[in-house]
Amino acid sequence: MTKKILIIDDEEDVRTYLNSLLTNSGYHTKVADDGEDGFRKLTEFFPDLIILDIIMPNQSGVGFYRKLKKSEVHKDIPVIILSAVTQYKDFFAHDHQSVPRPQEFLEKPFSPQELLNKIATYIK
Amino acid sequence: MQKAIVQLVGDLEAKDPHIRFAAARTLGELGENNALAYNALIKTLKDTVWFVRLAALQSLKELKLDIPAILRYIVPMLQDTHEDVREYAVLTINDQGPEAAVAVPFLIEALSDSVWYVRERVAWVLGQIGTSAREARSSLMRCLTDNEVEVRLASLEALGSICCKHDTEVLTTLNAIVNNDDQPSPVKEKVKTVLMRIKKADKSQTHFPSSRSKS
Repeated sequence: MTKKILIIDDEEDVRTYLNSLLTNSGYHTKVADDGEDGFRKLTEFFPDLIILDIIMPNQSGVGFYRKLKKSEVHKDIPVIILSAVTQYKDFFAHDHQSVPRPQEFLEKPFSPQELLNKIATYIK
Repeated sequence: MQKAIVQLVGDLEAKDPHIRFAAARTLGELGENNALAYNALIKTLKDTVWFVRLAALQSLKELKLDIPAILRYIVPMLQDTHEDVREYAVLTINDQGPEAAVAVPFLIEALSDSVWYVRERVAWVLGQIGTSAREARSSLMRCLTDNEVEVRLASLEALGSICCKHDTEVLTTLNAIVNNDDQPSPVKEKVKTVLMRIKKADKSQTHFPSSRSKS
């Protein structure tokens, strides 16, 4: 069965690139342009993995991630953070929190092969 | 280097917020804490776009701030309109170590933040401040009935770092939680751990938890 990936990024170029990369690699994808849109798509698409940008209008990737991890239905979906801002790791860096850290962080610009390898680690 | 800083400071006035954002972040990454960069970043804390304000805050955190600057510029950001900025302001305050105690009254107010993960983070930082945050005890006890379990757990952790065995009101409240069927089991388990910690520790001479971790 084709695995499903939800791409959440406010930059249209990035969404288009990722969509094309992942579709050509055999995944079924859906795109969203911010955290709020992402949550709407999440409930209708139920992806096997989420690729999440951090800096987005309205709800940021941080807000989306925290909401995701509180959802009984969706909390186990693996998340790869794709961001140009490494300092965002600070938000997830404290093990005091009951919210587990995202599975992976990838910095933009990223290597497509590295991304595909990381995705393959979580969904086979 | 000065030439690059002048250029970046100029970019902080760019029309495109993404350019302002990149300029603010790069100023932090350069690590040059000169007056021009510092003042420009302080000014950028009032940018109209939240992620530009956040970038300025992140860079100032890296350039290190003193206590007067924290009180004057960072504490007001606990009221920012965007939750990520508020949360990062809390992290920046936490970076001050024991001196963060001056911000305790403002952190107590921030325990009422509308976003649960900001409240959770604030509670955690109060615990990191330790016994110097004793005035937060009542507010943290109120957080034990927060709608979000995560906030209750962080508040319990904080109370464990702040309180001592003579805090009878806290101990009574915690003991009541153990027998409260409305509280979920992770909270009850946490209470048991915290009660043991409070009873064991003599915090009368301690002003900062030894296990403090820097962000």
